[in-house]
Amino acid sequence: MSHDGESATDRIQYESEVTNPFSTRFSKPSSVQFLEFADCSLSTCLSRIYNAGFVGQIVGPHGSGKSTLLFALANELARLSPVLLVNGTKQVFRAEPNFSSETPSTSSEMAFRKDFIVLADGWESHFLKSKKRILKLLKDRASPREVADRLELSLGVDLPISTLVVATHVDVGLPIVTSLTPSLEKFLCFAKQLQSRSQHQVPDDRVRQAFDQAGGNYREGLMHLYDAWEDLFGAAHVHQPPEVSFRESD
Amino acid sequence: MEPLISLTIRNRKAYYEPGDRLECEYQIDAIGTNAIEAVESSVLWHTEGKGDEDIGVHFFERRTPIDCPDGDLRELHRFSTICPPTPLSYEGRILKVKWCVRVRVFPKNGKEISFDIPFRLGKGIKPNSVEKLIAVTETTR
Repeated sequence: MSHDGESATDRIQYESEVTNPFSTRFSKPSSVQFLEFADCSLSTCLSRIYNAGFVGQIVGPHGSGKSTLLFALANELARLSPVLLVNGTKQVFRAEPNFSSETPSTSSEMAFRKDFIVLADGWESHFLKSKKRILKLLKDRASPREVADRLELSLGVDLPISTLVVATHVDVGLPIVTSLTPSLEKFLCFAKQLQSRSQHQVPDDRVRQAFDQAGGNYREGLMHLYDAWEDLFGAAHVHQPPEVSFRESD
Repeated sequence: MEPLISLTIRNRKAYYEPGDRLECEYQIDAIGTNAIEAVESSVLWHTEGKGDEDIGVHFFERRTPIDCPDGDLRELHRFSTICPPTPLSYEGRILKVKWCVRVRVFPKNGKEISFDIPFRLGKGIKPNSVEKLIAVTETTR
């Protein structure tokens, strides 16, 4: 192989590593791992959902991690039961545990497995009429099976819906699974988690700045961090030594 | 232990022009002979950036044990495809177009494993060259 060929290949390999860790591809709710803190752990959320009869709400402002938590819960709940995650009218996630009719199982387990747990993201974007009917049904505290039958009728969904957990900006009167509050500490951990795939790290003071600029909205904060990462290490710096471009930009 | 995927682009180059042939091969190790349900290989592009991710599959091949004479999907397998005219690789600030060769292994038990090798289609349009092109176009109007 010629010397030119080698350098060209090296350049390509280097460029392939230049991937912004704050790209939507890596930072979207379905891609990131939910970070557990003392005030919000997956096991606590799951036990609250269970104790409330698989009905509840996750409350928090825009960009506070509600969707990420819903995805994490969907993955956990899918070990037990079929799960459907919807956003408005869009189905964004659906999972069913491997279920074989040959597996020994009690009749109650069978009934549970056949029911879908419905997680509704962006509760605000659901039609008002539909929401009111669902909430009225749920507030009646009917048994899961009765709720399932009536929800099928009210939503017009051809699925055996038995349970509903929603993510919402404001308290809608359902049992609270958790209330999410953005914090700088969590955002710093989140940024660190995303940057673990990258050999270049945005310094903590830039992360703090992004959090402040976004007014505590994680999603907006990540957009600022995307720009910060591009400024420091992006495509424009590919052919320059990273140390030099880092110091110049910083 | 997860299965190991050894994926190689046989005619590795700095970049590929549309119409070039891309030749690849892969082999699976650290897994039993009958433990693989299927192996999928693909050549695809995807976008990265601040917006929603877009993806396009140019080449796709799925192999199951019945596709192999002895039913062993672990053995060395080669595939090739002709590079399409578009979309060319692009490294912009808010949008990037990236190409890769991907192999996904679906074990009979356990989670699927995937391995990618990135490559570049076209010499690569740099953001500043797009700006220059726009400037030249506007000047010549």
